[in-house]
Amino acid sequence: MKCAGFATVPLLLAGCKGPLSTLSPAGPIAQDIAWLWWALLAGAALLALLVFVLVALSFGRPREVPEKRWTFGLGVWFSLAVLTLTLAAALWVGERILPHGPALEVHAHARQWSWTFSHPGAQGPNEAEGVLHIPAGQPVDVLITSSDVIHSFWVPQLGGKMDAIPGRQNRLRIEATRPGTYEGLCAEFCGLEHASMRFEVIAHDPADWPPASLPVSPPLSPPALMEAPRP
Amino acid sequence: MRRVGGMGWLGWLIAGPTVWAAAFSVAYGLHGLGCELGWPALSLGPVSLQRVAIALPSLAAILVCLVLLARVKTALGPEAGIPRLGLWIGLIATLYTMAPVLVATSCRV
Ligand SMILES: [Cu+2]
Repeated sequence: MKCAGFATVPLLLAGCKGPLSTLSPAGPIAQDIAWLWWALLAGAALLALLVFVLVALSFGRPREVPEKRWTFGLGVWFSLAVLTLTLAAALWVGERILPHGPALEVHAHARQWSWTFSHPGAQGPNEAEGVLHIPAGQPVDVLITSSDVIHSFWVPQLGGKMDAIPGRQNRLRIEATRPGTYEGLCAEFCGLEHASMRFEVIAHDPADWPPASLPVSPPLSPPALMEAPRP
Repeated sequence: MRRVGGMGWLGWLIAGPTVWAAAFSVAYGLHGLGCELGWPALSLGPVSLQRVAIALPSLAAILVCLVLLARVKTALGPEAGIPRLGLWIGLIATLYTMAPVLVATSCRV
């Protein structure tokens, strides 16, 4: 039984790598988020350890329990300290990953069940289905909209996630350190084909930006692709 | 004097956490409303209307906890112990969960 339990460990750890893993960051923002993830794991591990020790102790003979140590020392102050540190870490990271200062702006428009992206090109805006082109090595703000239900834009290796809400325009900052292809997905259940609502982000060498090789697609016909957000 | 386990005593027991929960919900609602109505841009002296609006329910909650703490002994006599602890929990939880409101960025468009 024990062996069977341990046998699943490599399987579980395999989920930590790969193109859709927050723990394989490929840019400074995703790096911050991964760091926060590890900080939260450490905090959770400390609290879990306390609980396991308490459970283990309960199997022994009944004994005198010093309230000062167990109830206040560990139960209150230790737990509060762990929670305070993780809260501070979350606030710190949360502020850092906000869109501060100027950045290149691209658009992501969601609908059931696909994404349309547009970015400034050599000859005007470029639109593409399912592929977002960005320059590597600089921050990019994705302006996220939706035409039907709530979706969510998420590229785990490049940044956080942000909902696409009908009637609103949300802003999410992402950044890829190096050129490459990164996978993205819709992270808010949005109907039957939600799971297939995937996309790619291609980060280009800054020297080749804006990419001239991309075809300039004609503006998409109605429904208007990027409705103006409400004032 | 109220009995341990009676409805009145139960009310005193959950007063602290309830006051905290109410303040939290009100602050949560006002936060969303303020972002939509542009309160962060309206300054009230040194701070924005947004921060004042979110902080006020917490201040009210702390005040309510302090008032109840001052009365719990008279109301419950020897049974005041655990309700008093509950009120302290409500007060400290309000301070703890509302403190980030004073420093964190409030809205992003
Ligand atoms: Cu979706």
